[in-house]
Amino acid sequence: MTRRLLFAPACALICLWAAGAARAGDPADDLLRNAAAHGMSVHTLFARFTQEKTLQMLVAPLRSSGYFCLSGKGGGDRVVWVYETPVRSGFTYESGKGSFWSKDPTNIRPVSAQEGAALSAMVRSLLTWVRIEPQRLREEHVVSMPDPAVPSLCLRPRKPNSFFSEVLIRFAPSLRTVESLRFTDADGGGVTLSFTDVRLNSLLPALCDP
Amino acid sequence: MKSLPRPSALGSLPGVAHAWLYRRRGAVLIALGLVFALCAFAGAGLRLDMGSRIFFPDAAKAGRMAAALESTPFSRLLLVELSSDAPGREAELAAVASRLLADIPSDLAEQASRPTIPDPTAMLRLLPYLVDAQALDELRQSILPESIGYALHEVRNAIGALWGGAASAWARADPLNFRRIVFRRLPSPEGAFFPDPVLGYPISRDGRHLLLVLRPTRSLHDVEAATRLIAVLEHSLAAHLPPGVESRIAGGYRHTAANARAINGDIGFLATGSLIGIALVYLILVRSVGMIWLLLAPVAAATLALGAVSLAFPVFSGLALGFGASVLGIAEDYATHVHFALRSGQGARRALDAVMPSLFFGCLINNAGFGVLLFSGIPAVRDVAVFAILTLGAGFLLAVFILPLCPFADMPVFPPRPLASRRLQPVGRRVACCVAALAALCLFSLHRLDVDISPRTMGADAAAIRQDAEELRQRWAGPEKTVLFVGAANLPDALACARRITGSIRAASPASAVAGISDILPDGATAHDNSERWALFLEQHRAAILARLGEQASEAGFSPHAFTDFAAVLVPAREEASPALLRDAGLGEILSLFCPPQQDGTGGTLLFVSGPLDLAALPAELQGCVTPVSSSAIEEHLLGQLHREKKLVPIAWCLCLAILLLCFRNIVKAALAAIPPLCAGTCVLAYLTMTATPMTLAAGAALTMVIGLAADHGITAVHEMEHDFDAGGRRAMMVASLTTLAGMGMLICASHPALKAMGEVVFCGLLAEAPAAVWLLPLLCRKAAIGASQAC
Repeated sequence: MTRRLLFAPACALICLWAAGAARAGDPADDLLRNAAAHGMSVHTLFARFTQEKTLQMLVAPLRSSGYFCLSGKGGGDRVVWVYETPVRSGFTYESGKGSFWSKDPTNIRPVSAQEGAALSAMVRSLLTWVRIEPQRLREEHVVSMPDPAVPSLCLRPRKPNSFFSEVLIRFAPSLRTVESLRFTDADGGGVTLSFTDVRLNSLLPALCDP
Repeated sequence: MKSLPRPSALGSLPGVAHAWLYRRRGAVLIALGLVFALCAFAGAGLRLDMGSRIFFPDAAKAGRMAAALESTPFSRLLLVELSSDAPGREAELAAVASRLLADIPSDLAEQASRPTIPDPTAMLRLLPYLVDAQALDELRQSILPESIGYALHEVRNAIGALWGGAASAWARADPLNFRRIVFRRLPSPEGAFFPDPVLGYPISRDGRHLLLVLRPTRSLHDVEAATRLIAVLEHSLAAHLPPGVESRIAGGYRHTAANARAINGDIGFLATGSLIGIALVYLILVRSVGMIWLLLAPVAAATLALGAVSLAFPVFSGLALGFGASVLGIAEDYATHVHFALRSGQGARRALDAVMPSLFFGCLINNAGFGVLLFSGIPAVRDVAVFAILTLGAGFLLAVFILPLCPFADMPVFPPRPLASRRLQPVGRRVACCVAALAALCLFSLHRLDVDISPRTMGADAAAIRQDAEELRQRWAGPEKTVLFVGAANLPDALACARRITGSIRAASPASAVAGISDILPDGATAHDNSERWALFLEQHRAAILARLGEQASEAGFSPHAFTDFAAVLVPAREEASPALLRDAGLGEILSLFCPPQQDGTGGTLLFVSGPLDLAALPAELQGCVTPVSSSAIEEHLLGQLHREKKLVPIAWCLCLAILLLCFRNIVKAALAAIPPLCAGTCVLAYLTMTATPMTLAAGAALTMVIGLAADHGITAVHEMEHDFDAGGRRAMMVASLTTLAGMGMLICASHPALKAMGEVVFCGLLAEAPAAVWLLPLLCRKAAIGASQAC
């Protein structure tokens, strides 16, 4: 009986400690949850970006700039990605169908079935990163927070065939938008996208209908 | 007529034979046991062909149709579609698909379209074989300084884009875009499902559907494997499918599994019901320990027939064997007649002498009917006929010569019916009226009868499976295409024919798009010429290309080692062009799709044609090697064959009628004996017409059995009317009909369409035949004077 009386408080203490530990959570989880609270409400998104791509094939990093537009949710997603420099080119993706263009938006190149599958996969990944859908991110990536002082998340894809071996998402201080994305290739190359002029849930500019 | 056995002589033969055998019955039974064991052993080793090819007529065209049907992706793959109720769950669907794959044993199936990115260097090894004169011009243009500059500019743009990851590997191996010569020849066929590069499975455009393409390792006709595969899949789906996600399975393997399941389920409860029914019939009407021999006789006959078949044929149709098993009811009929004759209490010799003629002519009629089928142009029909003739022959011999030797076969004795009540004389007018009425009704029903010989309507859950398959086809296969199967003695010949057909179609209708493997694999001579052309091009320009590229690449900001892989591409062809090259180039999946292996060692390849197609416009020599893959065309061809074989039916009828006339040597008696089979046939046809049920192959097989049994009973009934000896024919007829009704008539409760069709026919046929033989025939007669002349 005495043993039982001593054992009960010990169990209660252990339970209280476990509950506290669970509430404290992983910092990456907290950040993910906070960012998701804002990200889930994205209906339209416009942003300008500068891109810096490091490739083993090139002596110097390749710099380009452009903008992207995102609208719709629930199956009717429309993504427009446009490079303005050094060469005008881009793609439009709408309701599962994509098309590439080069120099002139009317100069559309038909997308083969294989390219279509790749484009769909890429847009899906892009939307997942932009919208911060926690469950999906967790399913597809190993999520960590590299620097607790900076609101950023490091995602490592669980699938071996992913486009990048690592994605670093850096949030704006407000956590409402993504400030930059850095993708690292399996072979060491990488791309950094820095976003400016981010307009969330506002009317998309005419640029978005190239 | 003298050469034919005289009825009286025929009648005394079994009695004499029985006396001889009875004296040696120990040795006879031991010898029979040995033969039976040998046949059982040989029969167990019989290799069964479970394929559908045996149901196609002998003509070469039909063989090609069968090969074509088995070569389609739908026959070789199993498709599992996972559908979510909302978009954005692709990763979740992919996770479910991966769990399904993990659950499927590797000896049953593997994923067909593996997510592999082709190795650029490997694929560019195909280039030398494709450098024709036009391609050479393009190559020469591509190596001009301004072209190289433009190509490097494009490479920079491509690899600079966010989506340029895969482009880097291609750019390293082929900065001057030589690959376009290879790519434009690659087919984009129906059934080639491109997997999502990240998730590893094809995803629909709306993101709500995922397709898992499985390539089963065993044949479509391996029932056990197909059933196990579908069971594993269903079990795995039940375990892993989250809420809001549905699944759909399509492919020939699902048909096989559904049929096997339905048949197993049916057999489970029908066998119990049949056994109870047969036991009741025996206990009530036979009431003898000897009934054990009645049960064993058809089994022994079938075993002996199986043994004989296995010695004569290395491979036999499993399905034909199933249909042929329906004659077991007739084999049992012989044993039943002999058993009741033996129980007359007048000695085995007299009993056999009395019963032999009617059994012999009954067996002769049945075998004559099946014998005509030996001239059928469909191998499966011939197989059914062979097995039926052997089973009936064995059943007859066992009943007449072996059954009387068995203990308890002749007891207890039944008291004979009074002779006066049995001696009847047919009335010609009554018989003629009855035959005319039945024939008219039979012809009327026949005229209105629907015939459906499609194997598709004979399958379990066929409608649901077809609907699922159609939905998948619409979602994944794109616009409808005509699939052509090009077959020849070997694959190179088939590919050569496919090349010429492709050329003809393109020349005749430029609007048509033809996808085939022959574009990417030119014939030997062309490939050799192209390789020579490439080798000469390299000899002249290789060094200059590499030097110029290095120089211009450096100016454009590329690192010195950016295009080192390109040097490995600029090499001459190392081997002769062959399908193996495609596999080495990472196109194994496409090769498997377009050039399915043929069971008989011949070669075959598929062409997918969209747009207008007029096969009749092809040169005559090409029409011989091409077959359009269309189930409706195949069914039309089978129906045509069936119509051509209709002539066998009147031949069979004439033969049977001739035997009846030979048996009775009296047209009225022969007509009277023909009434039970006519009655059974008419009743079955009327039932099918009234219920708008088409006559299927299964129903046809069962009808043959019913008519055969009815013909036996017709002969027995008429034979009994004019003989002094009471061989218990009425009781035997009732027992045989009721046991067949309990055995095969129970199939009417089956869930499987083919079994149900057989059951309906047997049920209707026997319901009409047995009363006709036992009660209707006496009504068409008047009492005869005792001692009137006897026929057979």
